[in-house]
Amino acid sequence: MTRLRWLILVAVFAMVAAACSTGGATTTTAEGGGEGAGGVEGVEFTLFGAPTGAEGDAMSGFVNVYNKEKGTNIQYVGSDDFENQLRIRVEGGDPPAVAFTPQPGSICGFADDGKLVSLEDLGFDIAKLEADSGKFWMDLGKCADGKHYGLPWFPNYKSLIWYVEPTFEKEGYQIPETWDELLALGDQMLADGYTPWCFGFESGNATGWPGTDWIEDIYVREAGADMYGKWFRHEIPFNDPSVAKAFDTFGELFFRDGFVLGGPENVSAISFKDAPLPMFDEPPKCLMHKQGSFVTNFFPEGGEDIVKFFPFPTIDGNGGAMGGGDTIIVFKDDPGIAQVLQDWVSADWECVLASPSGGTASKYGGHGVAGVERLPGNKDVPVDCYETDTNKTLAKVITDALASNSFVFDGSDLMPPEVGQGTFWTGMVDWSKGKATKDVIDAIEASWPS
Amino acid sequence: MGTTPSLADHDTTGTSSDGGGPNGGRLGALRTVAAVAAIAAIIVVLAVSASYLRDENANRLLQVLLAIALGVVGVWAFYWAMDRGVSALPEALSERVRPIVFVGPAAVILGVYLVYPAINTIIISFMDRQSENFVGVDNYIDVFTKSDTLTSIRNSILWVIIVPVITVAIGLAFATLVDKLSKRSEASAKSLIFLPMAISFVGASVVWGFVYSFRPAGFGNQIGILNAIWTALGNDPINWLSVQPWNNAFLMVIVIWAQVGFAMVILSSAIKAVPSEIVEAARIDGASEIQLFWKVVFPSVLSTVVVVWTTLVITVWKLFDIVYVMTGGRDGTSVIAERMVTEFFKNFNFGAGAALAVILFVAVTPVMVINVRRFQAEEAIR
Repeated sequence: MTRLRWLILVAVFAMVAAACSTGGATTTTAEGGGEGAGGVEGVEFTLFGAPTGAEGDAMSGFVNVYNKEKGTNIQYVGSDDFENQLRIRVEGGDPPAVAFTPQPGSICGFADDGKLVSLEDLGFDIAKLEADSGKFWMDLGKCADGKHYGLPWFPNYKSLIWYVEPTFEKEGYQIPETWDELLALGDQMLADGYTPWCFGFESGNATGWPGTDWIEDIYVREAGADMYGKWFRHEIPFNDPSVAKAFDTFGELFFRDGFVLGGPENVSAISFKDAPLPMFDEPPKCLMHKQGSFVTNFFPEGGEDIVKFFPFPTIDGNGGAMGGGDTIIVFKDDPGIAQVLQDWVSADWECVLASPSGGTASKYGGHGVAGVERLPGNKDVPVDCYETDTNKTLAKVITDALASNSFVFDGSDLMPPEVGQGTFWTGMVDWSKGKATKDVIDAIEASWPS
Repeated sequence: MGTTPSLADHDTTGTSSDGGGPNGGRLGALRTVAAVAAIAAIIVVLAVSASYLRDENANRLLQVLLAIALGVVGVWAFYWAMDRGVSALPEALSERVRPIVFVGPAAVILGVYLVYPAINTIIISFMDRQSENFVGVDNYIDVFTKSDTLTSIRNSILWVIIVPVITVAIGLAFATLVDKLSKRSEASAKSLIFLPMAISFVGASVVWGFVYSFRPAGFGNQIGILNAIWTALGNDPINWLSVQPWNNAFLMVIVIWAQVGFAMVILSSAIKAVPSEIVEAARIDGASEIQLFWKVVFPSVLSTVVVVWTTLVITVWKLFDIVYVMTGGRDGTSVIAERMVTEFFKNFNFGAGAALAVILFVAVTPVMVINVRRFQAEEAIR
């Protein structure tokens, strides 16, 4: 009996040892590469990011195309809990070699702790990156030591208003180009018996964010990109009169009688995913809706043939382009990795990342996952990289904005989480239910961490 | 990981003293070495497999199998090897070492996972958001001056006053009533009422999310039963979860619904334990059923009522999931535990989160003390 027990023990030991030796082998290969400074062949590292599911498969697809083309051995690992996992791994002394984050606000936290390698040290041409992807985006990764730590990769776009095209054609509505035209169009629709707008602020524990997008789009037009920067950096207080003005401007539309389907006080009970759906009813229950480029994911089959978009109108003659985006950060100083990343942000490889086939413009094909398209983070990416007309148009808007440096980031993503993912969101909910603008912005200002 | 080195140290000291001991023969020394080797081997196996489990590039299937093997066999193997190792020691020494070997790991684990975090939390609550500098009682001042935390404290107090009392009352009523039923219908009635206990609070929130569901005009039919009834009576639909302050009550209903079964089952067994002689004597004396309940049954089960009540109070102080899932604390529904999680994991303000944790800890303590005192008093009677 005792002997048998010892035997089992030895067997367990052997099994574990065997398991470990295979594990050990994998780890060593992961650290092996990066010797040939000139080329990228044989470079090996793990890329860590937030996309999972089909989006994650598309990332893996992209990486595989690159591996095949260049003889590298790069692996993509995605996590639904990316922000927390990244923090834990970095603080635990086990950071991934390369990651890409949707929260540019977190970059300098890592950089100031000395965890990141700057783009300057990796040999990037900062002036060229600023020309390709816009100075605003590059500045988000510019930290206390004056160096840049964030490499812009691919954006999404939010300054869009979606509309029911058949009804616009039938009634002869013109696409509004200014805020006043937008309000006048709403009045016209109301007079014709339509409800102009659909809103939906509900998003689980992120409820309220669609409202912050409105304020941001209005603010960047009314106050300009400089003030916008001061606003999210808290160089002006949140209850500054310029912010109050943006709320009041939004209120002209949001609280106008009959403008909002279901009533403005109820929009926080409507999921942002359900909000566009009444546009597809017959006859449509509302005709316009503002949301980011990802809204098409919630459309019914063939919805993109009915609901199209126009750019958010100008205010006082000022336009703007607002969105979010994924930014690459590098934890490991390695010339091979730098070379790979140089490739990835080039127009050629962003084209592979862009769509399943890479459209008609890609040298190397696409990432191969149907239904996933990503907007370009480099102004030189040709629109022919995209398969759908919607994304071709969007890509054009984005590349123009990047080239003219008018692309700004979603401000709430750049504010500290107490505000940007907290009181700004809940403040929009309170405001939609009728709480006075002054009380709302005073409360948000009071919550800003000192 | 933290436990193993200390145990290894522990054991080597045991061996060295044995080596110098007078009655350590050659065979004894050999056995001791073998025992130490076995223990060392087990510790190495555990350490190596633990590090393998954390390897991201490793084979997932192997990791899962190893985790199961480690969980089932690892603890057993560890204690078994320890026991063997101790037995191999000279008898006088082994009897002294054995209790330490068996209680030691548990004590260490308790210390590492319970005592140390509690002390650390208290320290962090006096530090800034990144736990870098001491800031005195600033975090506590913030908690008691900011409007959102004040709301959460007010709500938590309301929860603690209202929910346990109502739950116990309904549970007691059910327990008394089902006691009058026939055996078979009693069992089925009890299991029906007990059923929600099997659902997690998050699951219950999903269920009740449908009950309270609301769709503004233009966004389709009401799918929530409450609004379906409400609109059938000719009213406009209501967004129940944003009607202050009643939305708090709507959330409390969920906890009561989920916990009434627990109260009923415990109280029912207490009622059954009331000696039938006393009940019959009261009946013969002409007591009405209501008098019987208040004068005989209720005093007999009072200690159980207190136990159930304290358990519920602790549950409710710590309540987080229902509020987090249903409203996320919006519209004036936040509670302390929900604020704590938000401060820690969303705002990364460790100071504020820890201060809320300490407040929660202090709030739960008197209830715990009552519970333990009562338990001890009852043990003393037995």
